Amino acid sequence: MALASQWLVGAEAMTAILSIEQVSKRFRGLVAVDRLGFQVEQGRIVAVIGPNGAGKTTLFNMIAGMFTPDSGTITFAGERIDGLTSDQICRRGIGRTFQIVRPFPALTVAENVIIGALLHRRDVRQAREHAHNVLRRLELYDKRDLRAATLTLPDRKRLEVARALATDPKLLLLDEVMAGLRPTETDRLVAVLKDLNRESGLTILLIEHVMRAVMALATHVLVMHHGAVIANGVPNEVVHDRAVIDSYLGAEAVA
Amino acid sequence: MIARLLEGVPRRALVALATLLCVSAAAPLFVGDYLLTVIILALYLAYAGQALNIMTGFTGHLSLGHALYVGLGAYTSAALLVHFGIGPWLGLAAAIPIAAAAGAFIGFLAFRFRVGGVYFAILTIAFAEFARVGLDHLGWTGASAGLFLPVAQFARNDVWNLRGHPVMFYYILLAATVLAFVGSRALLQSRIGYFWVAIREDEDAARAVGIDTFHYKMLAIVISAGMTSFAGVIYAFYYNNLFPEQVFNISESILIILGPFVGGVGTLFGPILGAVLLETIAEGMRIILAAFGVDLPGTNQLFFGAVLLLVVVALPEGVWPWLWHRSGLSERKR
Repeated sequence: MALASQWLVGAEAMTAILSIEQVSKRFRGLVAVDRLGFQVEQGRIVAVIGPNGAGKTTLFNMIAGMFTPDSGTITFAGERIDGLTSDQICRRGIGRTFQIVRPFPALTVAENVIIGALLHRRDVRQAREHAHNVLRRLELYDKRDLRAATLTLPDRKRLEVARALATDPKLLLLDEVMAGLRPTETDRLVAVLKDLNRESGLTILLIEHVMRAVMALATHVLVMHHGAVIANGVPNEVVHDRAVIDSYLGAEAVA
Repeated sequence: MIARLLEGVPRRALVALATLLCVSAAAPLFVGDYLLTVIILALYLAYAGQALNIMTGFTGHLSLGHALYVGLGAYTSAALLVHFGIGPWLGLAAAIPIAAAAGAFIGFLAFRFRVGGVYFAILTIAFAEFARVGLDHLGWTGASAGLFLPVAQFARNDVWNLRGHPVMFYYILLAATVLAFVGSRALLQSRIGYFWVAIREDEDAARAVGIDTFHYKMLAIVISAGMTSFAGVIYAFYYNNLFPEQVFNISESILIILGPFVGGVGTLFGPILGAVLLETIAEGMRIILAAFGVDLPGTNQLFFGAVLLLVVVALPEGVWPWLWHRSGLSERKR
């Protein structure tokens, strides 16, 4: 394929907060991510879509430091971050959620978020205050004294977002936070994320299968297939792309 | 500082705690010599259990080798006294860094190479065994023949040299238990405590919110080991004789973990409650058996096992969380 490996998401020459170049990751024989490259501009909301097994979560796990790329570089805010551990990467300003939610089960909702807030705050009271503000935003404040294990799945998904947000990230990685949510819940979470992006300039990179959310939220869409980017651009263009329809969306989706 | 420590404690719990403290302070006036030795052992286990709880309860790393730190504390202070005439409190000042260093070494090996779960527990057993075998052959500390502290007639209680009546040991252990309790609460409510608990709950998720898990796990094992060494110093000066075969024995380690697990591992009051419960049960058993004229060695161990089984099945979180809600101490949330 004569695809350029370098994609600039957002055509204007702004500064890229995240830049991925020639990144590959293989598991034994399987190439999960193949010489992938793209950039994310500061303040953008970029959705990564694609069929199962396209390498989306592997890509996320490399950005977040769970995996080290076999080759290529990942640069965040001007610094190489590939090869750093996940805690080092979080301290540099990347917050993430897990595809399969992982709250601290025996702790309360508030405690979960306080732990995130303590990353950049020494004082527990200040952290609690910040955590409460984040919980209000995500409409979890009334449930702050419940144990995380007792929450419903949609609430646990929001708790994941809240905990990541409490670490004051510059870039937020969301791995399928809309999956399993009802349409009204999806719309509410989309609204919250849009507000955050508008008010604080938070950059968001999300993996998402719920096209309703992708279309409402993303300023740019990146389509992955077999470990590589096959299309990228504004949402409306991408969903009409022939290759994207063939590999992922299916003809009915855009009919 | 004090206001901060009391923050969020229900008033009923405070009253209960104050009452318990008063009863404990007055207890030696009402109990005989024999019963006193029983409650001294209970307090010793309560203190050591709290030290273990910081590591096992707060960060979730099971140690089956805490006898190592008891033994290091005991042998350090005893050897310093026997060979150099250095008193127990200066001995403690040496014992804490030695035990902490041993903890740091084990922690470094385990956490650097991601040894967790059962394998971590086995590693802790291994090091306690190394120490036992090593000291069994170390002539300087009497090897397997034991190390004996000079026992003088105690005309009066000498706190500075830990020489005196068991009542003195009782009050020292009571103070240590109270301090450990207050210290544990302060730690648990601090930034460190939140990070420890996050590591216990889900280490990958903890790392994902930026916690340097290696650093905080090291901190837990070092504090726990250092704290435990004080129990060793008391052990040495209370019993006045040390044998590697006894001090470093795995049964000592298990005795230390039973209290927290019965009472509620990871809770603040669980280790104290568990230690007292187990000692009460053990003594109760002994009295009942004696009353019937039964003398079956080993009954105690069997009964301990049965109690542990019962707790694991019926109250897996321990007795204390159950009691806390049942007793109304927690006061209903608004």
